[in-house]
Amino acid sequence: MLPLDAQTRQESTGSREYVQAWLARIFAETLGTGEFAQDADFFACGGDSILAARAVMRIRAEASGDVPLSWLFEQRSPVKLAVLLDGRVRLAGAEGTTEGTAAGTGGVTGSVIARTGNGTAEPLSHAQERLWLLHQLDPESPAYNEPLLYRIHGDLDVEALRAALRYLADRHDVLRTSLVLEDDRPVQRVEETARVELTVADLRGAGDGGAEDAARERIRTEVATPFDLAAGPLFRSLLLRTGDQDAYLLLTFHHIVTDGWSTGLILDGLGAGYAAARAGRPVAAAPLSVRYADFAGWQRGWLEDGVAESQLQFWERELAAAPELTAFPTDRPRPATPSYDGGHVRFTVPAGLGGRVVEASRAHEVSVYVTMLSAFLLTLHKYTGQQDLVIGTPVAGRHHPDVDELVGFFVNTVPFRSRYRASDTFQEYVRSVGATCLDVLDHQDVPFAQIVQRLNLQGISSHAPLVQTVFAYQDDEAQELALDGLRTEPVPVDGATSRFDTTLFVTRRPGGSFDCDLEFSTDLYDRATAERLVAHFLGLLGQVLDTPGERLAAYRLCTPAELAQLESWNATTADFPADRCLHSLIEDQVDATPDAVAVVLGDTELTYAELDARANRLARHLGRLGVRPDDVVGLCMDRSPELVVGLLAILKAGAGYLPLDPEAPRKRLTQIAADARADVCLTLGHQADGAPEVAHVVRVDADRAEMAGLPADRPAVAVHPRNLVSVYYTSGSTGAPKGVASSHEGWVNRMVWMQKQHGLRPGETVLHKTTLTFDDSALELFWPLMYGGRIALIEPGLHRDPQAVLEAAKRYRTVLLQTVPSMLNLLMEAVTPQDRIALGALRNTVSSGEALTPAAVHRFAETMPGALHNTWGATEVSIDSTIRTCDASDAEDTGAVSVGAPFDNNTVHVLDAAFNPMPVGVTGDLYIGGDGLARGYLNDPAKTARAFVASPFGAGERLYRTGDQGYLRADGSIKFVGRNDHQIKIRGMRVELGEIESVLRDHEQVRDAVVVAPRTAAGHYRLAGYVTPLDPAAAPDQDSLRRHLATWLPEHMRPPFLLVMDRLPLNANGKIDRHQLPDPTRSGQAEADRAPLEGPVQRAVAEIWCEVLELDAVGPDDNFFELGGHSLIATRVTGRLRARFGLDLPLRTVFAAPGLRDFAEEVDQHLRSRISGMSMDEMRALLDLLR
Amino acid sequence: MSNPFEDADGTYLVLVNSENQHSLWPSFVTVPEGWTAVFGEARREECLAYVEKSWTDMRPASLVQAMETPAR
Repeated sequence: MLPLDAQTRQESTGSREYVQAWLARIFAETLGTGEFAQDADFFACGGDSILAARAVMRIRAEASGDVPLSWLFEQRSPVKLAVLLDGRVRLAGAEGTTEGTAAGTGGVTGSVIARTGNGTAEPLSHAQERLWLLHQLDPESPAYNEPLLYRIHGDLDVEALRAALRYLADRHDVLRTSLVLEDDRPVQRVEETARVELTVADLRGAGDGGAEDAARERIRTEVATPFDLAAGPLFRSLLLRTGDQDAYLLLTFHHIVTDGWSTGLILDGLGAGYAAARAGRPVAAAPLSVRYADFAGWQRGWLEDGVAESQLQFWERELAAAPELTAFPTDRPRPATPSYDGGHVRFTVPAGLGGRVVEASRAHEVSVYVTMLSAFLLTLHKYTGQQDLVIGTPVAGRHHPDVDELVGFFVNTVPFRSRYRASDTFQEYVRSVGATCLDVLDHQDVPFAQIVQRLNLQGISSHAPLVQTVFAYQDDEAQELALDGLRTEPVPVDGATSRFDTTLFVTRRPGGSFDCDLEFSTDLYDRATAERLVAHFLGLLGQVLDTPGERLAAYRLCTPAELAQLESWNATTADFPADRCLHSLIEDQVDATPDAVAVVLGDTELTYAELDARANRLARHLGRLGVRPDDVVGLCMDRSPELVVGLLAILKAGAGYLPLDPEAPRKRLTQIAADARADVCLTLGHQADGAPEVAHVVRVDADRAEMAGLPADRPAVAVHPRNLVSVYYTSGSTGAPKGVASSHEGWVNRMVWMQKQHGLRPGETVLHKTTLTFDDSALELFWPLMYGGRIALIEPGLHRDPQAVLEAAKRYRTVLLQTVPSMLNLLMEAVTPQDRIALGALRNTVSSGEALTPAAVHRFAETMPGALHNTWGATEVSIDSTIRTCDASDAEDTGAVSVGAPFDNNTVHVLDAAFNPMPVGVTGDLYIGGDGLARGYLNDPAKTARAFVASPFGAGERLYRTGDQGYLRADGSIKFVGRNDHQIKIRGMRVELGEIESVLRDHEQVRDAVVVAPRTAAGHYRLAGYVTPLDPAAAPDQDSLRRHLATWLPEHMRPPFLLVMDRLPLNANGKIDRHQLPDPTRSGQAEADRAPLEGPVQRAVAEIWCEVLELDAVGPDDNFFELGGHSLIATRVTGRLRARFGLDLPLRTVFAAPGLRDFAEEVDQHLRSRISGMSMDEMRALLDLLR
Repeated sequence: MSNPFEDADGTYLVLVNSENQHSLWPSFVTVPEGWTAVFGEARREECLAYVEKSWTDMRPASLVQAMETPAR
């Protein structure tokens, strides 16, 4: 640093300009740049917390008065900072600094405790290590507390109980152990003498019934109190006296010192200790030959001696390409960090059913455990639809005989992979589960954490690695506490925690029944969902016992009551004129109101009679050209009165109309017309050049003279309700468009229901704005004509202009707007309060074609008149099949707004892969049945046979397979979840792009979002998200979006590529055009183009990463876990940060911010808050460390 | 969730109802009432080829009959 010239300082220290220049120089020197503009932002020019500290060090060195670091964080430019300094600080020499020690910045603080007297500091067992790590991730969580609660009746000798507890702790060294850090590694420290405290609380004074309540509250609190693993003993004893002869004894252990087997030893030891103390003699028990710590050491040696390696090789094979996430479908999105809050559903498999489980196990030649496990796995397969899944199951881990008598944590969790083949019988399945079980038991010793590590599955903090669902079985767990002269009774304790997403505990009782407890994460599941899950497990257990020879596909989740409920929701039968055709119903209206206006466009009007006459002539002309019933006639023209005439004429001629977009390339139109075998196409004179090349192009306007001589009465053509009404082409998954061949019957039903729903009155107007190639347009055309309404046409080309749509809606006083959500959003953006008043006639707005967002519902209520309806369906089922009239609850919903329930003569089925109906809340494939079904795909029997399939719910009927997925809610309404074919897998995990989209849409500044997943050259999906801002003036920035994503989604679901766009590209039908989204530009992280590290914090982090990961270099875009990091190494990173910078960074930061850039940012945040409170000397010492 | 109609390795049937409508059908699921298996069990491609070949008039049988009866 350049010393300030004393003279200059003398002369001009009072001047603001001088201070600014002085600060700019300090900033420039600190940042290592030649110059620093006086109005530039320090942090925008490469500054971070460390550099800021350096800069402030220099400022302080030359000024008197306090200069807190926070000033620089608030006033980031020389100009602004100078204002703040002005008057408060006097520039001077470096006087005023005092020499001193840099306390608190050097070594590891707080955690290092002196070694125990015998000098031992022994390693943890592997199982302990895993729990220890989990504890570090969430030290305040009581999830691994293991309570034992007993009600005691009789004259309790409290001193004898104390002695018994002391005896227990004396005998088992693990009950005297703390787990402390030594050189970044946890070790066991055993106290010589037991430090046992029995807390006694007398609740007898609490009054009638009050003692029990008070006890319950104390128990709840005690069980929810976390342990400090570094401060043993790791169990607590609490005695609650509730009456003269009544008490509760609550022993709370941390799981790290006990397990199910230990419980028996603890209860026996307590009983023996109590009896001995009462008798005034020592307990007669042989001393233990080994201690838990001995076991831990032995286990390490044994495993390292080749056992672990060979078992790991087995697990690598066993779990190759296994799914990483297996969980019952959740009620809510998974939080980025689990809270471990949980609930319990306790239930009993009664002795009768239990006895049949035992019998069946004998018949299948498997253990009872295997039969129960198989029923549970089957439930999980059915719920998830996954044919391949992995759960966890605990094993006792006590095959060394010397540890039989030891209290301690020996249990290991092993993964269990199950494969579902729909055609296997349950008999076959249960045997294969049995075989897997034997394999698993042969390889049960290698610690779970090592399997996870070998499979490289760490680094996702939102769910536990590999295993999220656990099945825990025990044969008659010991639970009797025999206290001399007292009556005791175990009391189940429901902790408010859940270690996994769900755990099913099954304990076999001597009487032949099974006690079961489903522990569930309340982050993810509602109690009602957990209760349904239990009912389905029991239902399936009954089914596989009743008919074990059935194929797996045949077992169903739904209970008979649920099936009856589903059926009632589909009871939609209603009368409609099934013997009539669309045009004949319109002809009825012509006869009723011939002089009413049917069509209006600007100054042009057509009455019903005029429309009918023109259509009749044209229909006759079509007949002359050879058009016959069930033929297809093209219609390629702009919105015009001729378009309405043409539509009606085609139907009168008996043919179905084929809508063709005049803006589409002519070659494509010709291809479609050829595919549909349309020999005739109607068009307008000025568009004839764009019409497809077919045998006869008829210009409805220009060729009118040719038809003028034809009779104006209706042609006698016999048209059947099952004749074609239309052929709409949609893009096929295979690329070639396919034509949906619809018939009058379905459309008549659709229009008749629409009239029931929306009640158009004669003379009222419906705006026709939807492009003809989108089937919703038919609703704007045929419905009004059938009921005496007036069709108002918006001029060609204006349907994409929200302002023009609003103007037309106002001018023509439309009573209904049919729109896709993307357009609805634009309308709501454009609409003014004056518009709202002018739109007074608008009663109903109908959203269709895409998922509607809660935000849109909310905005609609604020900006638009009338009701908003959400509909769902497909061209294949006559446009729509369900409706929901949105209310306030929809605005508060998550995900997509419900699409409601099926309307008249439509049914919706949520089915699994074997056509079993799914119960409420469980996602399945959505199928639609009823009178709306189209004939199929025109001239494509194979596609038709794949999509229009036999229905198990009505003899000889068909269902349309929509490709959509969804689930039913408890009120029978349907929630759309996503597309069967938009589902992708990232690192083996299923990812619904729709879920990411809905999270992005939930961002407060985001209006709409779309996520795509193109594949990289290496074949990996690369997620790319595109969002539009709610307010263009306040577009969300990348950081804010990323933070939002990080709050709601696990890392693998966060798109690395995000782009804020003014609006999303729409296709001709107004849907988002995914193909027109800009390409995600960034490719994979190559060695060569690794970005340089920025700033001292990133460099310091990189240095630590390199040390612990044994790498030469890392870059800001590297991911800790992708570089080979795992949880143990992560503790070294936090350990080193603590050692070097005195920084107490929670371990979970490594998981939450696995990228170096993000992690360094976290470190920086922590440093900022730490440095703000530092003295100059402390800061100087810290800066020395960073050099 | 894998859809039962998209399993390239699965085996299927071809079902026909009284309207001469054809349906691909996974062989492991019970044939619904009102439908008859006319082909298979066979690979998916074979079943679809059969459908292409045999379902040449896609009009429902009731419509075919109505259209062949002289207009009233």
